[in-house]
Amino acid sequence: MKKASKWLTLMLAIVMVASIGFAGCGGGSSAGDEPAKETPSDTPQEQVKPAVEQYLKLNARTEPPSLDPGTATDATSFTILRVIMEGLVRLDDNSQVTPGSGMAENWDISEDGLTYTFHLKNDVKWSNGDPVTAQDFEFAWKRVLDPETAADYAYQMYYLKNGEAYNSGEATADDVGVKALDDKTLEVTLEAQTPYFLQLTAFGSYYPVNKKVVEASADWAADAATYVGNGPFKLTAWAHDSEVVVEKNENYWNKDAVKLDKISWAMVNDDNTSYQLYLNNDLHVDAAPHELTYELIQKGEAVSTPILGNYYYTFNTEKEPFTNKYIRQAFAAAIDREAVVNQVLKGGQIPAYGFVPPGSSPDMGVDLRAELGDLVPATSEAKALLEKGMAELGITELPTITLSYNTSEGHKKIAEAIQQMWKQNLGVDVELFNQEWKVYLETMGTGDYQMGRMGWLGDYIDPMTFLDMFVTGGGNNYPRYANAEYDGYISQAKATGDQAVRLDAMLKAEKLLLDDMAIAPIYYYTSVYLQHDNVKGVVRHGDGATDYTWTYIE
Amino acid sequence: MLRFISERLIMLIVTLWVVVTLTFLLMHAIPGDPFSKEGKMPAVIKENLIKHYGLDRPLPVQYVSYLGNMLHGDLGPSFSSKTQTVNDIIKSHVPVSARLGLQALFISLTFGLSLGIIASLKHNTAVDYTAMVLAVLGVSIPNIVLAPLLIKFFAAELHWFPIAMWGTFAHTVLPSIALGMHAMAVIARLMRSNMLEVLGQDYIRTAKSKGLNSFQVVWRHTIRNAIMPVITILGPLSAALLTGTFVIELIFAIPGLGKYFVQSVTNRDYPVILGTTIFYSAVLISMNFFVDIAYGLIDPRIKVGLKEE
Repeated sequence: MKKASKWLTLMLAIVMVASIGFAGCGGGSSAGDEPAKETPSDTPQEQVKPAVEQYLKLNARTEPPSLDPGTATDATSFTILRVIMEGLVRLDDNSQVTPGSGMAENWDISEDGLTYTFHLKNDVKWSNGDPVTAQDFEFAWKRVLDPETAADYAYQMYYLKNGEAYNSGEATADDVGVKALDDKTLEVTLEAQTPYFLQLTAFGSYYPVNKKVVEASADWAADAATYVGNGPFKLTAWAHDSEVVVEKNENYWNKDAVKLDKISWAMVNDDNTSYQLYLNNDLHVDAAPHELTYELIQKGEAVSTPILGNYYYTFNTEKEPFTNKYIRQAFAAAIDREAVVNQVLKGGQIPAYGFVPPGSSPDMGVDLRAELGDLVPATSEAKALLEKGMAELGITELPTITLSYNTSEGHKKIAEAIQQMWKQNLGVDVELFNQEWKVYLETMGTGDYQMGRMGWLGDYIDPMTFLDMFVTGGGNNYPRYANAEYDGYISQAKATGDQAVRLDAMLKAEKLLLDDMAIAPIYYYTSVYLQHDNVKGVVRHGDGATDYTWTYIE
Repeated sequence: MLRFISERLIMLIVTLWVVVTLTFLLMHAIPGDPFSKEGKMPAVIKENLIKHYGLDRPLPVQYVSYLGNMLHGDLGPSFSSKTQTVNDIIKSHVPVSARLGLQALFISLTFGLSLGIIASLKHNTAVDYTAMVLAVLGVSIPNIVLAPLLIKFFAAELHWFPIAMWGTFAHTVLPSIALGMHAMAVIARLMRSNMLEVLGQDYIRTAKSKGLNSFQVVWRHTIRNAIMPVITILGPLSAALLTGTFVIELIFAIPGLGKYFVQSVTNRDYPVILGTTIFYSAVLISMNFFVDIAYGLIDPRIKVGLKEE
């Protein structure tokens, strides 16, 4: 008995000592490691200081999946990449391409629009001091297309001659239309005319990589210590799931335009927590918390900005009753989009009466959306359209109709609201069905649905990224839409570099798509952000991309 | 004792093998593929990815190759985090989760046991009721509510602690409390009811009538008998606390392992699903093993490993 009680005492003692020692260790080491880390109570004093610390605190929300431009595919990674790497051009604050804005000083374009010759700047260097060469670009682009790399975004490079062929193993690397003529001259040959190709060269997949560094170590991009970039900032710390830190790159060609000394990205994914951090000045810029979005926009504290993306319901044009165009029109017309946006979503979204979002054609002179206007029939016509469609199909009663969506509280709310609208405006009872995301994608891909939710974010800034998905047999053609006339407009637009011809063909294509109502647009995405007043010079592009190159703190 | 340990080790390996095999089969049985996204990728690119990760091989081949790599300590790549392997993920996130878990465990044990013991000794008094109201609150307020409240008051309003993120000891305080609260309440309730039961036993009355002082009675005769059920739940409890929890890590932005348990399934990130499951099973089995040993140390009537008396 005595012996056992000693054991118990001993055990408790060990637990106590261990915990105290543990806690002590933590406090001690952290004090040593991060003397500069300020406690929240110090923050107000920091602000009083006369010289403002040029240290921008941002929130990436999640761990960036990849900071290797070759394998990055997501907005989180690209936002960080945008300041630690630089392509041939860097889009300016109006999302325009200007010569000399990036690694290329200028370029020549051949008569047929297929060959681009880029002349690199002489003084451009990597963060380790190596010169940035045309060979680096050639190497980087071919690396994205190399089947061995297995890059998700290889298709962003299919514009290059033989790009797709090389990626699918039908051509060799030498056949690809990118070639360094000398250290500073890069010749690019395209598969077909691509009027937005210069825009593309500003995109993350087209960034160069340091050939020497990558060849020396395949894991170069996994660690701040081995990372070499050519952007305005250099990666100095990357603690996985915790923080990414970049500091001003003294080797950057345009370093005088860079005012920030340091940017950090925390990875706080909880809305409430990140909002508290923002209020406490621990974050300078952040996405507005969902629950408070409406309130914050009303108070003028949050700003809503459109991004190139839309949320829509797709009709399976191969399944009854949506084989009939009037029935599709009826279901699309019966949705009260204002109500969905203002009463259900309350996040500053824009009701969509067409497919291509506003702001998709900055370099075409006119905005496609503004040209087209609203293409969805009025709600008052819905009932008549339904009757017309049913008469055409020769039915007096609709079969059971199911709307599918992937499991999420947000999608459910929208679906329930629209279910109510169909009931009210069409007198139709629609059943709701939801599936876990990956299972849902499979269901949608195999066409095992009647109506389903989908969304699309533009891959590049041009209406084509929204329109070419509906060509017959297209990979993202969820409605299984097949219309030879539509396919004709798309190939017509793709075959020319003449913006007027392209615009005309794309206008016709969207009109036809909405007349056939293969999909029912619901709203255009917006991004709602919070930004402290003393943060200036943040550039937000039309596609939702943010560039902090010229940002400073007042 | 030695035989007991070696037997348990063999059991551990067999159990792990069963877990790996079942997880492997189940995760390949659920529909959905690791590379699908809202925008479908061209077939060529998907083929390249499938080849890159060796998913084009027949399942039995993948299974054998996975087991082979696992024996060499290689848990494979992560599909969704291109720059981290599963080994990297476990190596960099386990220390964080483990530290948080240990602190939470310490809080829950210290306060849970104290509250339970005091409440039972002051049975049916205001002290007892207060302790039990605390315990009921601890059991019934979910983390997802408690954590934001802690942030709101102790960080945002009072500025005693940082709001979130990881770095200094101060960063660990609120999440440790939030994580340990539920376990504390469970331990307090369990300890109190066991204490009350033991206190009603004849041998306690005998001890008291023999004239033992009350400290001796409580410390030697009551607590040691009453603590056994708490020791029993400590196995699974500490395994759960030490391997990370999704909600606490999300709310406090802590780089722990917890989110990988959840996200790997959502992403169909097969190697991460397997890696985290194996890790969790190994911790759970080890904890239960320690609990078995602890039985013998605390209660001499239990002879671990000796089947015949």
